[in-house]
Amino acid sequence: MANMRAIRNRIKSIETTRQIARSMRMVAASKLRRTQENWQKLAYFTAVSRDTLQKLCASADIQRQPLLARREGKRLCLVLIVGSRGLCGAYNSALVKQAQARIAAGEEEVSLVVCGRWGREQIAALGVPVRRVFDTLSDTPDAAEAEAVARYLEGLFLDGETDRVELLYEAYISALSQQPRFLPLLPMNAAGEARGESPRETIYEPDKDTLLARLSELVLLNSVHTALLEAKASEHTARMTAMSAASDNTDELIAKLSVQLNHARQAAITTEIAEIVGGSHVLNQTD
Amino acid sequence: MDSICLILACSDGERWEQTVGAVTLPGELGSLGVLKNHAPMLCALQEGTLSCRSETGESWRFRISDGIARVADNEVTVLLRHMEAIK
Repeated sequence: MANMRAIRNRIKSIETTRQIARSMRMVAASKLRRTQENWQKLAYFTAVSRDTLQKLCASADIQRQPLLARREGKRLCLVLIVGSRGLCGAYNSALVKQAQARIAAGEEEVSLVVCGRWGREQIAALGVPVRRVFDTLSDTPDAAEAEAVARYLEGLFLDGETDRVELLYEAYISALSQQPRFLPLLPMNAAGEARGESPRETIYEPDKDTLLARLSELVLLNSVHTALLEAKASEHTARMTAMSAASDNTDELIAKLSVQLNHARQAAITTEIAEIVGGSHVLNQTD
Repeated sequence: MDSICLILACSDGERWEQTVGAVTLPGELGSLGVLKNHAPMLCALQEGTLSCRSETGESWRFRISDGIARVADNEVTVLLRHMEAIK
């Protein structure tokens, strides 16, 4: 009986875990939908601003632009965009592994800026200085949150604290696949195929340098916002997958435990019958 | 029709699109108007009020942050950090 009670308690506890896993999966699905909507809204701005920047850069001196000029130094500020919490499979640990490999390569003097609450200890174990942690980012980062991160990174770069800034986050490939991606942020990479050159008679008001400075700030803000939203979409997807797997595992466990419970119950019934039969024999013999 | 396509796009993803007859932009060097067949132009904008009106006389006004306006092929694309419609 004690054994049966233990199994029943275990099943009850696993059912609770299954309920939690299912709820977390549904919450992650809802957050994913909202994040994807906001992420997709940025696509137009990204396309137009990038295209305009590339056209402008093709005909301007980018070495005069502080956010675009290349630098010789080896100091890299790596912006690690981790999740706000765990329970999302290998999402966070894959990022830390990538950062570790980059640091171990030893080609750059790396410092970190962390966006997300997860893994202070794991990140500290990387053994490089952490300049700042943005640990209050929401589940669907808005423009104001992105601007705070972008302004900080811009300040680091312009003050000469670092020679390059790169983002490291989980790129959203599909609902089934997310991959760590290093995205160079500063100096801004304006190379690429612009959709046709600017017409020669284009009027630049007041001048190309002012326009480039203004546009590069908008592109920086947009790049950070897009990366934050993409990383969040990947995090929510990873959590959905992890919770789905957890829910499936609990189903299997419950099925196994139910069989065990049936066996135990059957054994108890058999024992009771054997005891009754044995008792009746004894009574018959005494009569 | 003497119309141009005006698109206001913010870095937070907000977007407003309308076919209009004329646009007035708060340029860095002062207010400037754009009509159909304007020469291609890239223009830095300062914080201020953007206004436009359709050929039927309907008009719209927006309080905008600084940004950039791109004029080409009868299309005016304004890239901003944020905007707010003035009623």
